[in-house]
Amino acid sequence: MTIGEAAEGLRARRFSAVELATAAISRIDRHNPALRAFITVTAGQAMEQARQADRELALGKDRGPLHGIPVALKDLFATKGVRTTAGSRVHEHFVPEIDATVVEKLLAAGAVLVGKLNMHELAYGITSANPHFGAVCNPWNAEHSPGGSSGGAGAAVAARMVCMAMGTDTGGSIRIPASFCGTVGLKPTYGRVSRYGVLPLGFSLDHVGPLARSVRDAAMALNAIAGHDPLDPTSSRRPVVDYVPDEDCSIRGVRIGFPDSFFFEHLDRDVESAVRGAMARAESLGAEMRPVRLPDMEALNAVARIVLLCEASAVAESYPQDRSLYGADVRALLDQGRLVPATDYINAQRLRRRMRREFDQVWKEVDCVVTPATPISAPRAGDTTVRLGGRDEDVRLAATRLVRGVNALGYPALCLPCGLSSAGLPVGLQIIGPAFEEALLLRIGAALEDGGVGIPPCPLSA
Amino acid sequence: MDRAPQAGRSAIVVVMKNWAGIAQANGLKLSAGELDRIVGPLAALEETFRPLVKQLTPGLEPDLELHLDGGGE
Repeated sequence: MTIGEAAEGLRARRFSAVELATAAISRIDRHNPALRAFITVTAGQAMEQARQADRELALGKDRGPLHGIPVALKDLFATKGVRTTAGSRVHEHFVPEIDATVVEKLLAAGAVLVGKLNMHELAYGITSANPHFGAVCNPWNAEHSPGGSSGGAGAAVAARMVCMAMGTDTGGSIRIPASFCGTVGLKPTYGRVSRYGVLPLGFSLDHVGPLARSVRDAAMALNAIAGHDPLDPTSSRRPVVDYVPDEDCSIRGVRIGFPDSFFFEHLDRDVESAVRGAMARAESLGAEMRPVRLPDMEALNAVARIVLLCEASAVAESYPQDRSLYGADVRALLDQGRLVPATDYINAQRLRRRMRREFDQVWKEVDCVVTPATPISAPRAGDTTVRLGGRDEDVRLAATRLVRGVNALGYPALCLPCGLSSAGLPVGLQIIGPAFEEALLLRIGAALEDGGVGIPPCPLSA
Repeated sequence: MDRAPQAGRSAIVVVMKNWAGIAQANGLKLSAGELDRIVGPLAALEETFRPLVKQLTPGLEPDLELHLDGGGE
């Protein structure tokens, strides 16, 4: 059930918020032992919130489409009185005294928080094979990775445990699990959604956004969480708009750029086929498909990696230095960041400014750019390399190759499922747009969904 | 004899860094296995990144806080 369908059912009194929450918790109880999507389930609190949601609806107080809807949070959003681990032993016993701004906004919108989601340790990786809380499994095939770092979010939404989950994206951590788990994932513009109360990984790269089962659901979530926050110094003052696309939204005349170089090189054949199929559908719906030349994305990825290595290691300086507290992969990344000189960090930020100026020119030619989200569908858990275009590639580098650079630019990017591989695993399409053009990306995504681009629900049993 | 770099050919030579020495100088006590795990990725990153730095012009300032509202650019 989508948020839209659940919201309609609640108002038609076909079911109550308590029944929705009960169903969500039952499904978590049933599937979480195998999927390990949740670290903490807040069943008691969720039932109280659901009862409150029902009482308010009965009295005519309607907080909007998220009112009474079960949602979950990646376990790095501060939740007052509820343990917030960031998937780490470092924060294993951390119980915040505040709610993150996004959590406050979701509660104000009437959402029912059913728990905190498993993730890659400290959000620093893309497998969600968490050494402390167990490896998250992909609901489409438990032998495959759900992606990460918001892997629990992707798994919980795909497995229909919750209607929507909140994730974060520093180098693709919303879009990669969305792509691997067959959900919609939205990374809004940097500054559009508050980061206050969210454990940082890379200050200037971190973005907060939803994973959901439809584009319109993601838009409803963005409506609830977007806006200026004086507690976040990088929060934008630009006014928000209504992000939910109309039912009959059109993309006629929208100029969609497709960059044949880089984004369409070294792809899995099934991925390329599904993405090109979605592009053809966009054209048949009236969009103007235009080839576009982009700045050096490989260079941009290098810049984003330097920035992340330095910022993440700077954040971790205040953490306990007992090396046994960290998983081997995270420890290695933190070590790398400590060896990059300050001059490289500054120069990476200078290159970042230049590349953003170059990329801004692209928006004079096209309204958005469409690419695959990931060059592969979900790899087998534990695979370290993947063979693409006749060469072996590190799985982590492959998974981040098409998404990481967008974090350095700060632009919004939407991932939506556009097909299944021959192995029955989802393939994700990425739509990148100019800063603060989330509404356009969501309209394009909704039009594609309405036009038949998508995948069947995850075949996980009831 | 010195010669000007030919068109289309990079004149930038990426010097291999002694990552083990840098780690030691930074007070990081790493096992051989841990060093192996970080040297490869750092060396590969260096190879892509160093030539980019050489292209920078002095007037270009860093983008330390990403403000996309249009006020700063």
